[in-house]
Amino acid sequence: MSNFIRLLKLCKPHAGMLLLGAFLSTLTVLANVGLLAISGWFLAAMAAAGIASVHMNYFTPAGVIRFLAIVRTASRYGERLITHNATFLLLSEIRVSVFSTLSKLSNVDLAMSRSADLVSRMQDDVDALDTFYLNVLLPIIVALISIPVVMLFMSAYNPSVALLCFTALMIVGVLLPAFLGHKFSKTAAQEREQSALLRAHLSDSLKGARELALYQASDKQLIECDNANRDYNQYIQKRHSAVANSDGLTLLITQLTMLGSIIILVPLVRSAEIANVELAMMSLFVLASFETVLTLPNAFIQLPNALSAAARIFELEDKLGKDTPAATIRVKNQPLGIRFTDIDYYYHSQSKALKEINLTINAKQKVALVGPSGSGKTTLINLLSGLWPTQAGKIELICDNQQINLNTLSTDNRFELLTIVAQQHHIFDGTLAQNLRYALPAATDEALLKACEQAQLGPWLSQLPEGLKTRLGTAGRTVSQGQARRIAIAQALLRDSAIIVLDEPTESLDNHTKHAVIDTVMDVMAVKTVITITHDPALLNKMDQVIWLEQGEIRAIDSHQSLLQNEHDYVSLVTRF
Amino acid sequence: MTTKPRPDRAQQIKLRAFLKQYSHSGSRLLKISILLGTLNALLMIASCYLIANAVHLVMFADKQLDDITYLLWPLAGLILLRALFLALSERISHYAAQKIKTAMRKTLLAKLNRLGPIYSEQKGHGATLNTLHNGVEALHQYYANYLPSVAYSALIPLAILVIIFPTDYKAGLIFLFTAPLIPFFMILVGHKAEEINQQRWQQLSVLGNYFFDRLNGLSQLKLFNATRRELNNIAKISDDFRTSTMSVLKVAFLSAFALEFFATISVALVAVIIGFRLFFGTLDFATGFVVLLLAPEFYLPLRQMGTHYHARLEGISAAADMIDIINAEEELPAAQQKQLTLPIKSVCTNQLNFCYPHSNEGISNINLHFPAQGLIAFVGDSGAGKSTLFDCLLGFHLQANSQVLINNTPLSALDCQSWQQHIAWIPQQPTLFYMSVADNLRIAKVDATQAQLEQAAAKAGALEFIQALPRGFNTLLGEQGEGLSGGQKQRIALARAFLKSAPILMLDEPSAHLDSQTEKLINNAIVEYAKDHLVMVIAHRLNTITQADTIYVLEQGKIIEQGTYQQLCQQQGKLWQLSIAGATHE
Repeated sequence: MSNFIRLLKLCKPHAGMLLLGAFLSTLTVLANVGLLAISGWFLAAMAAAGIASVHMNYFTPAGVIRFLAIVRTASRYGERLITHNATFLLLSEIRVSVFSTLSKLSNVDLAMSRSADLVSRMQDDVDALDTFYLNVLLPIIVALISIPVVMLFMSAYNPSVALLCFTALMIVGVLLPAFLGHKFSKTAAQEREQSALLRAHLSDSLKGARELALYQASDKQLIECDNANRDYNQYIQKRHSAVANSDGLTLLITQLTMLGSIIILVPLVRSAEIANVELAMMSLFVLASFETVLTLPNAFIQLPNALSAAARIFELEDKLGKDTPAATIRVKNQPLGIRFTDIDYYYHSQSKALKEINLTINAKQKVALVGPSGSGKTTLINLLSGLWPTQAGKIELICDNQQINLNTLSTDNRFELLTIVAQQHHIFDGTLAQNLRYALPAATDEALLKACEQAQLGPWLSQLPEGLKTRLGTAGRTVSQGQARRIAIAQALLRDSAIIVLDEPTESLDNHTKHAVIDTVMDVMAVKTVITITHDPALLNKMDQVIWLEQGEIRAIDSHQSLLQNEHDYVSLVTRF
Repeated sequence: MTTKPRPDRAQQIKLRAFLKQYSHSGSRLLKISILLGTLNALLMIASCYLIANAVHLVMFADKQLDDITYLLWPLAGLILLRALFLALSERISHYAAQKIKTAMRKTLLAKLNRLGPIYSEQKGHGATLNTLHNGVEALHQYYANYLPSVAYSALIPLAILVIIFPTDYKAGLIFLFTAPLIPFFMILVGHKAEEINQQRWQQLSVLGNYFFDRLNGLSQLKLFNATRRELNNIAKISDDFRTSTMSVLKVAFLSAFALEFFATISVALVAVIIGFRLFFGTLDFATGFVVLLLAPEFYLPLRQMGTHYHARLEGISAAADMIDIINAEEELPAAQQKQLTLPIKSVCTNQLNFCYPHSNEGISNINLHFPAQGLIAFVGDSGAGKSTLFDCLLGFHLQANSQVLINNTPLSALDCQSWQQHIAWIPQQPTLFYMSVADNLRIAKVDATQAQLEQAAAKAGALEFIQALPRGFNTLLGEQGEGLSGGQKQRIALARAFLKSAPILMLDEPSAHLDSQTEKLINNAIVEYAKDHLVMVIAHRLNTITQADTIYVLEQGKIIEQGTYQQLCQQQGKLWQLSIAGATHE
């Protein structure tokens, strides 16, 4: 319930639009109900008047019918426009709120909140909330307003019919769908699981196609897929069967209610307590009144889904602590050294990713981090970036014999001093220029072109017909790994920060490009403090110092050359064919 | 969500024919479902008659409740039957969709199997997986909802007309008079609703893609300190999309407005005309009431069909990917009965050439002769043709099969499976299937005993850590299974290969930096195996190369050097350059 209220609060800025949509929606429903009921009455009255050969004012009801028909159509049009507009407004609100929450959380909170991939889960959750207004909130508001109105009119004619009808409406519109919604929220998790399982099996068959062929196990894998498919289908069928049952039941209740109201009303017509023409009207009125709950079942079925999606998003929001204390010191962008003191890091209580790292990197020094995968290189960089909070020990910046704890800096200041090119470099959906400007928003086109040139993107760029305006990413041109790497380097070159971290900068570059990239980087970054994660001898050769990590500990700090001469393990580590 | 363009009209006709063609496994069920749905409509018409007559008798013939029970009891019966038919019809149509989906998935998988691993690699595993999983699921609504709704939109109005005509031809005429509106509606729904749907969903998906793309790159935005700027971007882009979409929708909804308007006006028109006929006594009330009750039902199926248009588009779009796979050309080799005779005495290639279509990459003029045992290493830059050579040797490139000779018989003259079953193969990133460790190993040997599993694992240096897993050999692996390190996965794959104990082991060494202990372990296991088997390895590590009996160095699809490590180092050629790059200044 509290999540529902929090969701409503999120809707608050657009309450006017949302309510206007709801009002038009209600108007449509009521006009429709009125149209049917009055048509019934009109027909009966005309027939009665015809039989009794009395004159009848048929202009008014015929006019009302026409009027209601027009109101219904017009308000339906308005409703569609307004509700869609409101949905878009809310959608933007939700996305901005989710994005701002996620961007404030540290990556550790994000990673540890769930084992499965956070982003894909987030996608489902945001999608579920996108339609919260249209599918959940709107039908509820419409029912809340229109049911009392309809009931008021109906009870004016006959309270017991109204009571019968109200009970039926509650069963069809609330009880039945709430039951289904409750049931589905339980089975939805299982359905998702089965779906993921099927996906895993299908993915195995594709990725492992060669192995399966060579081990003559393709047929066996086909059976595995078929079984997973069958299990998944069983869950889907269960859901559809439940909906089918509920549809049948709804039809049964709706029709029986009309039958019941006829049975209630017939003796009253006989005893002349109500006019005979009202029988025709009431039977149609009862039937039409179910329009008020037409979209309600879907709302209640989706409600648990929307609420659990909201709960997960709010849960992340609640993780946001109090704002970090305002930074007291501001460090200028000047040559800086880094000192790691007694750094420990645990993923969980058993596995230690870093053990007592003590390390000093001087200003303008060029150092390399080497070590097998899992030795703690990336963890160390994540701690330096602040994306992961330090658990034990401290990281300090050294300038002019002063030592400043990195944690006392504001995020803005920290990233002004620090540029990190991660190994998993994301190319955003947008133009090349847009991608580059993420590094430096104010950069001129000339600056962008220069950075591209320095990063050896020149030849590639010159053959792109749209140049910097070429669209990249999911909906654009695909870039090779080597190109992505060089785009990342161009971004790093644009940012004029004192410390630069490059994770595998020369990976997937051909020999010629590699050397050119290394030369420019060393040239442009001569006055910077540079940390590279690399095993490339060509780059290691240029480094002042190599820090060799193994199993979270520093195994050696020395120059590349002397390590090559003294450590056989090091030679095998950096020699790759 | 997808941003790929929707198929145009001509393509849609082709795709719908395709979807019809592949629906045979459920088409009978679908027909039954439609039959039940139509029966439901017929009963609905009957119950309208009963209601109208009952109301008529009470209102104008002074009948009491007891007098009309003979109408009300059957009415209750009809209602019950209708509820039953409706539920059954829905269940069956969904069941039919399941059957069709299952058959489609099976057909696609079987076809992909026949096409071989290279087809889906070229198309991208991700795209193919999406077609197999989400794509096939997108067909559900198409078969379960859209197809029946098309049938109903023709059958139900027709049924209403046929039944109402004998009762009162004038009422029938009113329907017939408004009936020409139906094709008009059809066209409106057909063209316009489709446009609305297309625009609405495409806009939404573009917006969604933008948002989730930024979410995917969130860490990077943080590193660039760009999250606040991006927040403004998201708000702005959402708002731009809203404005542009709304201006489209304003116009697009007009067609829906017209449809609603005509349907509503028609019903109102029917009511007014009948009202006057009743007034002048040319029609009895029961008939008039029936017509009024049926009027909305007459137009309902059409309006419902409009609501399933999105399902239709999704289904058709998904079908476009499927048709690609199903129509892909298979290069089936002529079935060869000839089995490979054991033992394998010689494996060689004679003028082996292979080039990928639409690219210059490939291998050319490769002449190799492999001994029955020993460690053979292949070295070269990425793109030099090592993997292509391996694929040719494995028999995955059919054009090259005649240039690969086993015991002096070309591979093209042999049953390829009889060759492949003597090879164990480990790629750079071995696939651990979504099953237990034991079942993963048993892929290589279905009837392996526990002792054999343990023996193979021990040989690969994997026994210790497998036994330390929470459920030992029964631990579930795969995407959602136990998290294993790269080195551990490698060792399980090695154990799988050893279990097969094939005369030939081919492996693509992982280029990732495993810790030195694991590297040594794997290295020793391979060298040991090479003593009495043939081991071919795409080598990345110094240790592997120094211990190889022969090293082949590839460059641009050709073999440029061969020999032992010592020999090649003395030649001071390519291999020497590669191996000393780490050791000296340039």
